[in-house]
Amino acid sequence: MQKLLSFFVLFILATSTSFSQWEDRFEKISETNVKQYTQPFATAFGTAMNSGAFHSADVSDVFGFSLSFKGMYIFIPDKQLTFIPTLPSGYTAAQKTATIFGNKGATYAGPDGYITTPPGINIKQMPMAIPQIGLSLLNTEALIRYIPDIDIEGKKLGLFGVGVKHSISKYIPLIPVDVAVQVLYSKFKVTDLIEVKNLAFNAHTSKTFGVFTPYFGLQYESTKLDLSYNIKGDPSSGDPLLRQDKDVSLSLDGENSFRATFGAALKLAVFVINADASFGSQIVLGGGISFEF
Amino acid sequence: MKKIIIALLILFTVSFVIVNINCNKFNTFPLNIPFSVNVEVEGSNNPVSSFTQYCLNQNRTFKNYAEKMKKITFIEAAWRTDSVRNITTGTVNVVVKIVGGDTLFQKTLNGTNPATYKNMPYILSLTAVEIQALHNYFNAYLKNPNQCLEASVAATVTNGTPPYYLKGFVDLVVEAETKF
Repeated sequence: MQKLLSFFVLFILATSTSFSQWEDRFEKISETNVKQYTQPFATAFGTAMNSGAFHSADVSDVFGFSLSFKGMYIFIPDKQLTFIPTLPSGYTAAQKTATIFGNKGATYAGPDGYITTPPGINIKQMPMAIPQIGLSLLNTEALIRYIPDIDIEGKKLGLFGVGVKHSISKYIPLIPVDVAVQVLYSKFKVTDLIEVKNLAFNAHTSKTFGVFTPYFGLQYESTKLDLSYNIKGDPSSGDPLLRQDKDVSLSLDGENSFRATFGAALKLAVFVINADASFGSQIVLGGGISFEF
Repeated sequence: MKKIIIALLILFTVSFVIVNINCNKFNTFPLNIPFSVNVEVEGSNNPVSSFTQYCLNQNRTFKNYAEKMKKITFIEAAWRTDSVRNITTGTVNVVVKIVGGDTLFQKTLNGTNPATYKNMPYILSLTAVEIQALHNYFNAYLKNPNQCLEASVAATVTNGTPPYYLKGFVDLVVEAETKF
């Protein structure tokens, strides 16, 4: 278990190093275009954070405990890899440029010299992993996702999430499947750079056949991303918005709003492994390992 | 049970490696850097000409990232007129060379009204040889940032009245592969 925890700490460290490098990309994009540049990340990150909250609708009516490590693999659609930027008067956006997930930035000639846009990180899939603990009592389960603040290059990265799930099928006699509803809230933050808040409501159902449990869920969700960054102005830039140093703050909503999840879990004594696929604004393949009783 | 735990650990290790491979993509940053060399020609001679020297480290973005740059690739170049007086038609010859050294590229805008390029720059189409010469220059500059560029402009006026005046920019964009 110690090793697994170490993996997750290392994962967060690797990811957080990446976050610190975002600033170099953002400092080259104006407030006019940063929303479109960042939007796919808000959607993908929100999609990931709202994933992996269930692998069964069966909730213990006495006492239950689970420690899970959930992994997600989000597929970024091609249409979210590029966008048409808004340019100053006299410039024509004849070509698309990269979003944060796209490849290379673009170059636009115009009356005040070239305007360039920053590159993306050139990925079409985004992996994520989240540790979580569940405690259940009297047909209700509390879910906690937590990673303590980690210092990276003067910034603190942290994750906190909480969820509550309640069994509905316990109130319906002779119902052949388990049914539960769940609400999930989480917040991920890198100080002075990014804060992502996620909220999800879902209803899910499952049926256990021995060690095998298929499950299905419908989820409504939202993601709000707050971003702060600093533009390092270049007086010779063709874009008037990029000529002076300035701080930029903005909020944007992810495009993730609804998803359907199909999956199955295999229970081997106190260990459960599960895999699922979610279909929404972005497709997510999920999987996890849980120690539970 | 022990085998299952080992299998699960291996599964997560593999996942972790995949994650790290993806994260490494953050470590490369193909930064587009635009810069402009201002050239001003003025006088009653025909042709009228002038030149300006420009060192890449005069560019703020280049200067900020110079130590992290591994490779520079030429993207595009253009001629942009800033202001023009007493020249209605003429031929504008743009030459970019290494100071005291080889010519990197040379382009001629024949029979043109320079004012045309105030709103929309003229994109300079470079040959493969010229692009390679620019690549060689930029990457040599990374290792030894001593040799600067020289942009010269000569305007041969066919329709105009002296004294002639033309101020413009040779705009260039390079992509710098920057590592962290």
